[in-house]
Amino acid sequence: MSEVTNTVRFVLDGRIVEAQGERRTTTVLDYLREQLHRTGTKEGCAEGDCGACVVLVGELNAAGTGVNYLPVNSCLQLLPTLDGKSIKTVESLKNPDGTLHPVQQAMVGCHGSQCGFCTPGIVMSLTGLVQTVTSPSRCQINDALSGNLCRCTGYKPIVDATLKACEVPAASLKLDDHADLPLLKEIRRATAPTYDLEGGIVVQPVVRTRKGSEFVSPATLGELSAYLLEHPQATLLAGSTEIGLQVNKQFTRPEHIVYLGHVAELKRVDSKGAVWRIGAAVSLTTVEQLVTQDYPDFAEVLRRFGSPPIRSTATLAGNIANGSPIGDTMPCLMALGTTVHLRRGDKTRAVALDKFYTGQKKTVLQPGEFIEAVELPKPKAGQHFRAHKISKRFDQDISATCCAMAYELVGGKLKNVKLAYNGLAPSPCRAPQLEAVMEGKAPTEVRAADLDAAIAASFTARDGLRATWAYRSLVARNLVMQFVEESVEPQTEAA
Amino acid sequence: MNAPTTLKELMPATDPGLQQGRELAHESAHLHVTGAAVYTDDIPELRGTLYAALVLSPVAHGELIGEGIDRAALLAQHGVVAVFTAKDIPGENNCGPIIHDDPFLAAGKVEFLGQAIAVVVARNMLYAREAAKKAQVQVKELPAILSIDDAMAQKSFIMPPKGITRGTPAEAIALAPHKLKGRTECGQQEQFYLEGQITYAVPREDGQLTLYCSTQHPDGNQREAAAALNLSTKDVEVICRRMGGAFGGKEGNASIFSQSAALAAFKLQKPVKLRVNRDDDMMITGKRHDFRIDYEAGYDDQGRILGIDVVLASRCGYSTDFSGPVNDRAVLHIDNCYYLPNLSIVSHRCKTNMQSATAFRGFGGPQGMFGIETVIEQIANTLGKDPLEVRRANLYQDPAVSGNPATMTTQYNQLIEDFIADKVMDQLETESAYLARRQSVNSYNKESKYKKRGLALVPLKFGISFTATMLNQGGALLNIYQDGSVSVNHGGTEMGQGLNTKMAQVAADGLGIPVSFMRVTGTDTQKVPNASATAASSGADINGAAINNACDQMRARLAEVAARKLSCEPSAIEFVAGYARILGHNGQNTSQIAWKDLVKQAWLDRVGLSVTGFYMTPDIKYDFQTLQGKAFYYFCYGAAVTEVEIDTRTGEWWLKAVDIVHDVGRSINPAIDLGQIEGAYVQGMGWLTMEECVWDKKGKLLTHGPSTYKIPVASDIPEHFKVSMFDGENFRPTPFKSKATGEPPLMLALSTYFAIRDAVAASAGHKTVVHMDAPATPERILMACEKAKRG
Repeated sequence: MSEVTNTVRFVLDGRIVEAQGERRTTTVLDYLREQLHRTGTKEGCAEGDCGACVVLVGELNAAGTGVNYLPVNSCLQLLPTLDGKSIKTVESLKNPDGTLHPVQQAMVGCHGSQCGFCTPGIVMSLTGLVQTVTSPSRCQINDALSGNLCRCTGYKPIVDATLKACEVPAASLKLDDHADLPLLKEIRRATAPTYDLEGGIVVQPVVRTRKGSEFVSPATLGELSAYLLEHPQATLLAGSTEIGLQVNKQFTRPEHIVYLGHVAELKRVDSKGAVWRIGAAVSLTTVEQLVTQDYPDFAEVLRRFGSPPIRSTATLAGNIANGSPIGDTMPCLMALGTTVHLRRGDKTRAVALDKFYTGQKKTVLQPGEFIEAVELPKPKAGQHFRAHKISKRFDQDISATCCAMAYELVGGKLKNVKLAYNGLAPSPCRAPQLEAVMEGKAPTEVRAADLDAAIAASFTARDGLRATWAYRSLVARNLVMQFVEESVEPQTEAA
Repeated sequence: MNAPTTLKELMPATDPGLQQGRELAHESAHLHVTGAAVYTDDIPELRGTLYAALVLSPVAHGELIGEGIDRAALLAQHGVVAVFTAKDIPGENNCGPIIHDDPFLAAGKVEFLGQAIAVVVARNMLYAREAAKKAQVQVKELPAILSIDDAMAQKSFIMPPKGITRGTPAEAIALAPHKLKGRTECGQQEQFYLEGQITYAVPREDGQLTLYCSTQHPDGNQREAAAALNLSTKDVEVICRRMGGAFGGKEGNASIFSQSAALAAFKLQKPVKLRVNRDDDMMITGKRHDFRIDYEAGYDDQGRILGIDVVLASRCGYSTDFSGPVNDRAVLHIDNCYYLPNLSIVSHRCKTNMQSATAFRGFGGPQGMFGIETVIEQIANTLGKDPLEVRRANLYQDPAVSGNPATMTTQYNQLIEDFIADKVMDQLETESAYLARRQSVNSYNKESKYKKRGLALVPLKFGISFTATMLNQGGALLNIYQDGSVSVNHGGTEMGQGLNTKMAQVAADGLGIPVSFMRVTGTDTQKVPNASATAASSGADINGAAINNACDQMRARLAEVAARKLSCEPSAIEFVAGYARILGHNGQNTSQIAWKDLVKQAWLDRVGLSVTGFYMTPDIKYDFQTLQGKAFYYFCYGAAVTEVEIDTRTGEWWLKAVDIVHDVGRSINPAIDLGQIEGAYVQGMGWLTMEECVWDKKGKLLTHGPSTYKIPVASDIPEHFKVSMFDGENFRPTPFKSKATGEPPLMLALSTYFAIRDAVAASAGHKTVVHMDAPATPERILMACEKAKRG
């Protein structure tokens, strides 16, 4: 049984940092800047949208032979989530002899910095990219930078610098973590629960205040469900892309925070059978890879959902549970007939996602109940799936609407049409009246006017921050018309 | 013409000894990429540092009840140490840069939602921010004026209207073969510097104060703090090593924060840091002025504008700030590159209950040019001509060619002495293969049902000088040390534009030594006093000239030392490549002395090795009351071709290709200038397309962070993004005969907007005039297509 601790331990450049007495809501960024005086990492927005704070977080690979890195927004990540992990900041990259990492060198050589404030984050995003992709395409570079804003350069020299950096031997792009590896093993978190004398599970806090507020990081589903029965009001934390925002902007300090990132069962994807069972702590990056082949439109929605630092931490379950009316994954998941698996203690139940919401940000979840897994059906023979998201900017923007549609073409007729939107109603939802307009018709028989009438009958017209109703409803109809037309001649006008 | 096509070809033939003309990396590049560059928030904090946050008005207009806050309640908040309001200010309550109508803490009334009412100081940043956010503001809400329409209807103006009349516009329009009339709007824009506003205020002995401030105008912060605290200016020092971007947003607006930090630090006699978070920053600070532009024009069959009547109305917010000169500049740039023989232009400056609109790269110029380019497009649409033809037909013309003495004179009666817009356009038309591209766009549009392409070539002319003549002065301080190393300081500030890099190059050539000897130090009001803001693209021109002036003086002193050593006349000494040597000689030890040895000798000879330089821009004479005269020392030119594609079902658009030819004179540092051009284009593209400030009906800015306010990101930039620099030099004796590059290239992005407009026109077969305001968001594009479809 490990001791009760108030210490967050992580590895930084070949040493173990023991952060003591920090708040459970202290962000990684604030800790780096204020306690470690690593001021290279910057705050530009504190909402995960500018990328000035990007750092790389490392975890031991499954074999324990190396470190896998993920880019994260340190402004959103809470310090206790780092427990047992390693971190690389912009200061980590310079070699001991003072020479620069190839990405840094190329950024200098290509004039990739002007004011320099966004530069550390950009360097980290690119360094993260080249850990796994050593000769990236322009598209991959743009995607790696989709969460990094630069207001000075116009990005061209930064993209050029990335291409230039990758001209060196791939090995020299790798981060040096030989000194981190043994330390990561040393601080590895327990993988089994702790029991009290009566055999009950004791969930050890990472951080605990005298008043009893705490941040816990269970390792098993059993611990998690036990803890939530005891603390039904606890805040579940996975990617921190929503909680981090509340901490920074509303000064929220939940009394009990339960981190899901170490729960083994929730990090698994089960691909057996006709469905993917995706654990609640599986990142969107993983989901994106999962569906790229079968649902390319869904993969693109996921790509545009957020930048790599967001996608590498955010989860499907988080997006679903948060239940924002403009959540992007839900229309896709609904059109594909997704089921969510809920758990409360030992009791589990499955709910179809299109029955999950009861109102704006309201769901069927009971106190102490949580999403354990998301079950996404694999494509059936003859099934087609289309989805597209409309926003002011293509990358990392919030939808005006996102439209997703699954259908089959049987004898030239549309069958089993499932259509779902976000942005049109208090929660993402199916659009049965529009489905009815299409069901059983040949694609050429679907009339815009009928869809318009169904939209008017289905939704309450309301202008919003991101678009007027006139625009939303027009686009909602046009996207369906486009999907339907292209079902006959698929992809005639791909961008 | 046989135009060079690459940057390398365009680089001026560089003397191997010269530092200017070289593509040196930004002097801080190695610090940027390693995280070692120190910004204001990175300065190690002094023991006892306290943190401040601002309590903001929750209403757009209201009367404060008492001080507007419950002081006792605020002081009772966890960690709070002190609270200050307007009544705690010993001196002048002002952060207005020109007219002192801008209290930094609201007194008696609030005039916009987000206006600072009180400074809360606490033991740490979190406590200060939390207390400020939760503070209950006591205010009686009053009706607010929010829109240009409301302000115009209620005659709510920040200052009286101004205008210019030239010739007989009404008659010219009446007699013209064709007429048009219309209205358009262009939107606000948030500067979105990546580093938010910040001041770290540190009290010093004997009532002095040091402000570490992210600011474009340290002198302004210094004078205003002195006035607020009843200090003399000598007792306030403002230091700014670098900013993480500014773009005009830290010209006047930095004072809102430096004043509050200064007040708190001075009152408490403790160091106080005020760093606002992004949301507060965007709620408090001003944006680019949005404009409503009404126009009426008469034109001939070629599309030549014979008479034009323009009424500008801009949303200035609650105080004057820079609204005077911003709107003046819009009036002065309504011509862009075009001769407008008969013109009436009136500019209304609307007072609204919003953040005071402020400086932003281009400073009214882009808005004026947006107006005239809209008129040009509408003429072309109506006549069925390629807009490029209409643009050419309206260009300023050499009187010797036109036979009309007025055709090279602006509406403000300045003779243009350096007009090259036609040549820039020629070069660009060739380089971009405009005609072939036009044909391929047309044939694409014929084939494609839903996706349409658009193309536009838009030129620009931008006047360089502060229109407030007295601001056109610069200062420098040059210190040489015994080892030959040189410290250069000047009044300008480094905000990423590479000013310090260029200044090191200028100083190095001024002394004939390698740039490695140079250290350009952070801006400090105790080194160079009374410096103008680094604004109006003037940084390199006025500070570079001041450095040249300092170098001239220093060379004269050192030439005497060298002449004594080399036994020649001082006039025979030249300073080249790290040596002082006798003119015409080269390489022999008897005819030259190495820089280090010379400096050492100078010290031994008791020659002063420190000198100040000064410069004032000559030959400008302008009356800002009548808007007449030689407003500008010279003009910058450029042109861009942009090709876009739109989806007529969704309004989404894609930037397909950009070609630019831009005039930077003879570039001091082509790599830095290229960065300015590319960056400005993208920033301007953001303004005209995706960047949209959204307000609610109560005057609350809803887009107060990057999650809702979208600036361009890497994938918005096309692979084909080609920039050439026009092969020329400034006809004025600026440093290295270079030209300013800060603001002008922003207006290259007008071509993005007009390319989108062209694609919208194509969606209706070019048979109708397009109505679309900026920014051209997907929604506006789709709605414009729908409208065009209906005719």
